[in-house]
Amino acid sequence: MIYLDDKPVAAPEGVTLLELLKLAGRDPALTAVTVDGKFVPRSDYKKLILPDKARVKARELLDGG
Amino acid sequence: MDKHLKVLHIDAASSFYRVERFPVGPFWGPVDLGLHLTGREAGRQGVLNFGTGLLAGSIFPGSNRLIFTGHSPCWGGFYVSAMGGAGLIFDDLGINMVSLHGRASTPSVLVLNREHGEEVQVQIVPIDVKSVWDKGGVYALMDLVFARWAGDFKQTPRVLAVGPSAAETDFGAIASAPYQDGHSTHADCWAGRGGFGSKLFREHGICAVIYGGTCLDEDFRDRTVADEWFKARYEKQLAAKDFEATAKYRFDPKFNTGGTFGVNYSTLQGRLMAFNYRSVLWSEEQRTALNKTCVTDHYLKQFNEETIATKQQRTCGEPCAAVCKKLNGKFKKDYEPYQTMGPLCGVFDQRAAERLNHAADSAGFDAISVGGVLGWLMECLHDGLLMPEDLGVSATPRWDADKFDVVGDSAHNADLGIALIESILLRRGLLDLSLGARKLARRLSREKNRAIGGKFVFLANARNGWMVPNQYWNAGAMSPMPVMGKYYMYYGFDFVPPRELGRLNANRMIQEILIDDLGFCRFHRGWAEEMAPEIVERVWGNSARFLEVVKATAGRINSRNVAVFWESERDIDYVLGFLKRKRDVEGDKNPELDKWIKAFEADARGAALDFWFEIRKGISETLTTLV
Repeated sequence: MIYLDDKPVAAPEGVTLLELLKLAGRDPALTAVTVDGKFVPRSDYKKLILPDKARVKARELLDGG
Repeated sequence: MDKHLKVLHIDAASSFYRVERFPVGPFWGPVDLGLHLTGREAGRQGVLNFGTGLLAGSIFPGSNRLIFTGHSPCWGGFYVSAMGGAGLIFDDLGINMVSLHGRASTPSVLVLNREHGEEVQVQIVPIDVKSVWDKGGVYALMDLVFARWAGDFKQTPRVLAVGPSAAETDFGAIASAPYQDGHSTHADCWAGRGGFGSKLFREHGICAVIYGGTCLDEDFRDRTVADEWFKARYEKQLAAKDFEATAKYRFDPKFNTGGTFGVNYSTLQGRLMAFNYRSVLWSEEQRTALNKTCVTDHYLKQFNEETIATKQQRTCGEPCAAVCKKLNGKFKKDYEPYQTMGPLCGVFDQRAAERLNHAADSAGFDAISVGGVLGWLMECLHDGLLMPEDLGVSATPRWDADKFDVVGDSAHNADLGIALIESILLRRGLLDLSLGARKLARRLSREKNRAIGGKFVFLANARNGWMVPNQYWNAGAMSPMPVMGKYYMYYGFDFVPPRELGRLNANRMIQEILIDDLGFCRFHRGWAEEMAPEIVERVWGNSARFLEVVKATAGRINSRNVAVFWESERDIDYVLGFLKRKRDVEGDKNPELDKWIKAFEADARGAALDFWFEIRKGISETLTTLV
């Protein structure tokens, strides 16, 4: 079980962070993400495989100047 | 590809110049190299650096920002300011950066011209800049410089110019616009924040720079290869991914608008900040009512009809799908300037906002900061803390939100704003902003009324440093980061507990420096943040080192972090208002949010101090590094 913003999410084993965000309908380009409290640069979203019980926080980024 | 970064050092006092080379690897771009050059000269002389990233002139869209670095006169610390598109022509000089030293003895124009492989021609030519400014401020100066020197260039050059605010205040900006067929396109680009216009003029005696050339260097132009990289990651070619990533800046069908003005005002709702942030103390009903009648039904409606529907839009000067410069005739519309010199001053009509913004732009001001200053001064007039004659004006603002005449009152407030701008430039009454708004706030608070300073919303840094925050009502925009005012923080609307906010801010700063250091426009960050390490790896084969240098640069910048706790009461109102709105309007049930609100309600100043320091802890623990 993986937790996204403190809510449990059913996700397949071996899911990457990028896949999780897309499953949850989040735009990876507009999120700042920590996994178990550690910031993940966007360039790593595609390769980071989320372990079981990972706590993912996805903060919404804004467009702007 | 380039193995060295070439810096052209110019002494404005003597016109002496020399080239210095820095290896790629230890150095990567205008931010880390600019920081190094600034630090190297610290204690001896000030320098102003401007340059491009290694990918300038390449096929990557958005890779041609011109990045300015140095010690900022208004922030009081190291600062980075980015200007769209101006790097494309700079790349034709065949150098990566200019580092300006010394001071011309009289206001002068710096001319840089390079034909193919010849040496760069460097000229410093005195002009009577004050008489030029009298004819139209920064725009008259750009036109004069272009008219006088453009003929000496084989291709259309680019002009950077400052206005009278650079002479009279510490927050003058640097302006530029692409020229086409001998005329300005009005697609104004600015290195707006940080007062580098004031630095260029007051410390170096330079009022304008004209540059251009025909030097061809080895830029990455293999579109087929780039498309392969993009298809591997996004299943789309480069151009298609960029088109998708920049949609909001061009046109967002979800909101039927585009550009930062359109998209922000379509979504702000009850987060609207108006009347010098007095709205943060209002009820949600009051804010949404004002937003509906004045913004949605008028200010935004005008923009959509006049600018979006007629597709008045241009690029910053580089070929780019974002087409982010939204215009109405000669007036360029961006969210933050049209917010601070809009609702923050009690202006909700495009005609009024155009006049006020144009007056500020002609004077060459940092548009966000000048709007924040005007809003503050207007509130002081409104509340009788200052009299019109104290500020060299003859009116007070019309700020009755319940009976607001959106056209008439906006026009009145814009006229008052224009009069205040004139007073600032002429130092009428008590208005002396030569050493900045924070110093003025202190003086007025001491000499006139203690409450005056408490109304000014700003971030304090070092002894006299100040910055009007980015116009997003959240705690991130008020964070104690080493550089504020330019998105080196998390400025989303989520409630983030302050220690975590500090860490998030710090990591966002690293990501923003990553793209600034490569000269990328942040409007392309939808792919640029992700692809930057891969592009560096593929082209230079050393992305790990690049990322180390970026992180170390952020750490070194933070080592100079002299942020000062919120000095005004309105700063604290702003933060508490955000927290309460999150809980009471948006229904955020995070127990830590509730805990902080209760702490503020028991002891606002004490809780604010704790909150501020918690953010600071998160910043420090992320950016302190021995590497």
